Amino acid sequence: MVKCLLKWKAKALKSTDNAVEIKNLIFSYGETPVIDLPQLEIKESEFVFLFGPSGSGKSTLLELMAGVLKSQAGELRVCGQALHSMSLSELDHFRSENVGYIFQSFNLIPYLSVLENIILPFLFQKTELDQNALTTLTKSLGLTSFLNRPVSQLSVGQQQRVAVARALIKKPKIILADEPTSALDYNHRENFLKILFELCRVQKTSVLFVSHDLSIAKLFDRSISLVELNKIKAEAAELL
Amino acid sequence: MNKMTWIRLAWKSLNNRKFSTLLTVFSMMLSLVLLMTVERVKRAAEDGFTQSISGVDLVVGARSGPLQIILYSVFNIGQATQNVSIESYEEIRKRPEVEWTIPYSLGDGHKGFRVVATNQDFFKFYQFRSKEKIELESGLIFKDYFDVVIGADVARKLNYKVGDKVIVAHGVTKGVALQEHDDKPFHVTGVMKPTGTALDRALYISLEGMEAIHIDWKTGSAPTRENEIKAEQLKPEMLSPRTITSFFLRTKSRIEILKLQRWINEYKEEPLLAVIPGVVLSEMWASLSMVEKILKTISFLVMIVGLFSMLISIMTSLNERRREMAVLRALGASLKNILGLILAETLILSLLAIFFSCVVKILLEVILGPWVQSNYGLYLQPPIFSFNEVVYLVIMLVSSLLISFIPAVRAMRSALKDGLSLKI
Repeated sequence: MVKCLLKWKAKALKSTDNAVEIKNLIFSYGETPVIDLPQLEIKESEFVFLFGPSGSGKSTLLELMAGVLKSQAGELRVCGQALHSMSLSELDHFRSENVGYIFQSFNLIPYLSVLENIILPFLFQKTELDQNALTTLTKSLGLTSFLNRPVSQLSVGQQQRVAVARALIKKPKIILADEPTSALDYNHRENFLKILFELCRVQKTSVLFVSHDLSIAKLFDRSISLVELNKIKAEAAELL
Repeated sequence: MNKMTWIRLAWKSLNNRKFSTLLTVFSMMLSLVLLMTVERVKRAAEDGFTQSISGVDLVVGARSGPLQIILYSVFNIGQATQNVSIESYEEIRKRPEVEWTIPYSLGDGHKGFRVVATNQDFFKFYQFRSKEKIELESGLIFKDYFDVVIGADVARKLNYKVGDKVIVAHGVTKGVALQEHDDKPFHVTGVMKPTGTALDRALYISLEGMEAIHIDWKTGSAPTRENEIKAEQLKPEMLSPRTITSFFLRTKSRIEILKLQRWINEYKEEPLLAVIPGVVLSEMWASLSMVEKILKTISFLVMIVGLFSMLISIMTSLNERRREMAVLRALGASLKNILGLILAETLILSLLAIFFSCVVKILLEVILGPWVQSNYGLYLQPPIFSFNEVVYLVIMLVSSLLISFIPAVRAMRSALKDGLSLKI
């Protein structure tokens, strides 16, 4: 127990002002190299837009940052914690404590109600649900009247807002979003991002938003092209 | 409901696949019901066999099959083809090696129950279970010709009590009687305590009573008016029985059983058969337990089929649920949590199957119990659940949880491989 705490403290001590810090990060699926990233930094509370064509490794990078995948070499620090030296169960713990994840589509559990979907993250950790935070969040996302409805009855736009609520309910330090606006038209997209940013600003949450849709890039603090950063360009080159 | 639990999540997920969940629970339940039914029938048969009679060395009847004699004398099933003359009975009864006898005269019935004519030795000597004697719940044993003592089931089913009138039906124990001895009604003088054996399902009258109701039935059917002999006209000397159906016998020393049996079987005056109930019962039991073993094997196979249907149902659902697993992973679920979710689903499935199998079992016993009792002489005695049956339920629960590790590990592996975006 004490050893575990010390390890935890050691990791926490390395914490800097950066939400994400990457140095020479390498990841491959079996024999196929996907990510070789010399350097990337995202500051705390920064909203970053990461773009690149399909197959450029965007989703893979997000999964690495979420601690679902484990990198093979290099350094990856998210919210001050060294993911590259964590075990699988430590990564699971890290994810449930620090990361809010928003999927591209079909990201809600179809047989649960809106409320059940939102509070689902609490199943994986010991902290109790803060009722006030839930009320504020659902109110600001305009979900109050839908709470007990099955998610399958919601429009795509409403479903996305439920996904945002679910990602933010635990007050994560970072939001990782994987093309969540691809199913929305421009107006809805802008609206969606406005709400997301507003809530993240209040919670001081960093946002890493991945998409191939450059039209929304201007709404972010910074845009990064993954193709430029990633040394593995095989598939991207094929597409070009 | 602001709290999410694993069981709730598993329940909702199963509910989402209602049809396949119902089918799975149904097939698991069916296998359990089958297994428990076989066990219950075996238990009832075993109890019936071991508890219906004790302390009797020989059962003697007219020469037929040993099985037949035991069935009609002990279990109230079937009919005797021939009678035993009272002279032969008296000769055997008076032999020095005989301690006591109980004569039985069968053939009549009352509303589906058998009427047994016997004497007071029946109440004195008849033993069941481990040397238990017959006791009366209320009233007294028969004294007069038209007194009747009724078994506990008879009293309960027909709602009879001491003093009630009973009309004996001629020649039948089941269905509607064509002819009844309504000219000579009996009166209930005593009600027996429940014994949990075939004894509960009969009415007991004296041999003289049996003789009295048949005294004017010379041709085997009801007498014409002029031939009728009224109850008031009966005299004791008219009523000494000429035949009985069979009798139970106890020797003074067990060493003499075989010798006496041979003597009776070689009896010159009349073709008789003496059987040792224990031997016949164990032969019957051996042939029945063979059937029981086959049934049990089949039931276990059905249980395996039930478990496999559960396995198949969970396995096929896994592929459809890869997205769901990815979402749970993204929200912080560890691989162990995914494993736990599948185990929780299995737990719910087996608990549902166990619950419904118990409900069905109890319903079956309540609904079919009386029918099984009257048609097969099987008494479903408490407890409702035997140790073996509880063991089967536990086996089902444990083995389903063990088997579910196959889909659980598979789900875990594919969750690890899939990550958050499915790679097809």
